[in-house]
Amino acid sequence: MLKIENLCKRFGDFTALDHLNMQVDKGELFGFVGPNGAGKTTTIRIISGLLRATSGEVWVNGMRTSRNTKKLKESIGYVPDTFGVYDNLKVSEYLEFFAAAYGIYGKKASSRRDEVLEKVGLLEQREMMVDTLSRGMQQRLCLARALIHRPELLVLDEPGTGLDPRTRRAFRRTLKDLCEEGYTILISSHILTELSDICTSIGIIDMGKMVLQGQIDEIMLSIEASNPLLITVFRDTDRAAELLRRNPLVTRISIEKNKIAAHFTGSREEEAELLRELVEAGIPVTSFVREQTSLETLFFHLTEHEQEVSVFEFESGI
Amino acid sequence: MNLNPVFDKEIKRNCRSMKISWIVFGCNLVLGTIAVISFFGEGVIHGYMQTDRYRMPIRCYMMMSYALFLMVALLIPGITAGSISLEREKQTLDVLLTTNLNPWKIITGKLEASLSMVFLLAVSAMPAVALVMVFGGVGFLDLIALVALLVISGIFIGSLGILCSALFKRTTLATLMAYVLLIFFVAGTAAIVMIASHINVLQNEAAGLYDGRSDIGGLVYLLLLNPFASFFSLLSGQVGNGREMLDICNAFGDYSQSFVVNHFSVFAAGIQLILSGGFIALSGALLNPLRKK
Ligand SMILES: Nc1ncnc2c1ncn2[C@@H]1O[C@H](COP(=O)(O)OP(=O)(O)OP(=O)(O)O)[C@@H](O)[C@H]1O
Ligand SMILES: [Mg+2]
Repeated sequence: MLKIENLCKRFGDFTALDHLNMQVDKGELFGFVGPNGAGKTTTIRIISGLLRATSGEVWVNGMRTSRNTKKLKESIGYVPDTFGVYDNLKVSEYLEFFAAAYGIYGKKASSRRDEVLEKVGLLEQREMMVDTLSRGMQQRLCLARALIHRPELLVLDEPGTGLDPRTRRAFRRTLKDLCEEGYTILISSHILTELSDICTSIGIIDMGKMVLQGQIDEIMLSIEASNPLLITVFRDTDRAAELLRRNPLVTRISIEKNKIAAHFTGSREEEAELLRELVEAGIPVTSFVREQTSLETLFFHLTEHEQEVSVFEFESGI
Repeated sequence: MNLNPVFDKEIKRNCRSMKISWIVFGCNLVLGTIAVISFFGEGVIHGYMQTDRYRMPIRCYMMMSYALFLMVALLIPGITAGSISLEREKQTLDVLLTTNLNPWKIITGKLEASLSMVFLLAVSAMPAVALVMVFGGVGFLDLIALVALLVISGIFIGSLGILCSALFKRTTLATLMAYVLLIFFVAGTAAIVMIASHINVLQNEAAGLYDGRSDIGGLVYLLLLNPFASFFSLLSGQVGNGREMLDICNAFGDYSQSFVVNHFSVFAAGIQLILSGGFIALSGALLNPLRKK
């Protein structure tokens, strides 16, 4: 659906995007995460045709964005991070205007209008003036607007900003519904946890580069596997350590009082087997868990810069 | 045929905007006052037996026409200079540019919306002008020509305003520049012609010629860019002796045989339309986010 190859964007001497690669398949809800200034907005503006890339290619639906701009605009619905609304215009007129902007007029336009208003839950506000809507409603209206021409790809740039937690959740729910309806959605955010429960895939961008990308359950699994098993025993710590060392699936262990951290490469089943062995050997195990690393920790880990280090080196080099 | 969506949207918004309503109201008040004063005021002042009373409706027509031109010249830059920059400032432009509307559609829609103002003003002046027709002196074709030239001036001034709006990020600067450029086209071109003529006279004097006549050659055609000159020339043909523009030009050389000067308003209107097309194309290019720098 969306494929980005070696995308580069330079603003003068500053490199905002540095050979970015990314792929979003049809029907996916793709979370595009990165810290402030990572290049999310820049990427999204290039996809939407608002910014010219320095080099690299963006393909939407098998079409290059640098060509057939018109067909492309019909396949993309764009919700910007900051946007305004017109004054002296009703919600219904606002949507009819954008319908007309995509060449949809008359009956078809009004049925589309009601359809998208229903989707975002603004049907009752259709006679209100757009500039009197609350921020949350405007955000939903903006989503409705992006849906008016039934694009295959929805691109949303940090749509959560400025909304209260409840509205954010409702908004995420709407997105999930849209995804189930068959829309492919790309949503950017700098809050990973917010996306992890709705997204099917995530991509983490930092300093203009994609540092991690994949299906969310696969990523979770691979994180899990790299975490140590935390075993707490009531007594017999040494005997337990001895037993663990003998297990070929345990690569490394560290002991602290009655707590043992063991790097274990086995599957879930083998994990259970290990616990059984410990218990059968008469070791009083009080707890046996995988250390929980959230995506958040991973995010922080991946987007950690060497800045602190370089500052330190600079200072010590006097 | 569907309306340009941008035009449709702007009209809807303008209809609800109090500012625009007040402007139209104010302009109508001015036009009405002119009509009332010329029809009744002059009668009271001069008495109805005055011999030149037949000129009264014509003078009314002339005053109203100049008033209309003045309104177009004062209002259109103000309206159009915000057309793009306000969308930018209100952060609505990006979304507009991601739709199927190309920059050309956006700009022509904005221009049409500002021209509808010209139409509105012209139409609201019609009852009074129609009275002039009843009294005689001005024909129906004259009226058509007047409205056509008003619209052309509106297009010229409007596309100038839109160009400024696309060029400058801030509305205040765009508005200022729109008026500055308009002043250049109205007063600046005239000033250049006069200064050139003065220099020419001085040169002639230095060469020993003291007839005070100048000949600036083709430079006089600079006046074709002047929207007021074209308007003045049209009205001169309609209610004057039709020679006023030629007389003015002849002050800078001998143009009695010049086809262009003898059909000044037509050529000026044509050139201003061509120039407007250029302004619009340039604004469209400026608006295109993917344009090569
Ligand atoms: N027009 C521009 N001129 C110069 N630099 C720019 C421009 N636009 C963006 N940048 C720079 O490019 C980098 C990436 O910006 P971008 O807006 O894409 O970040 P982001 O990931 O969207 O951040 P945020 O989470 O704060 O929205 C930033 O360092 C920014 O300063
Ligand atoms: Mg951003």
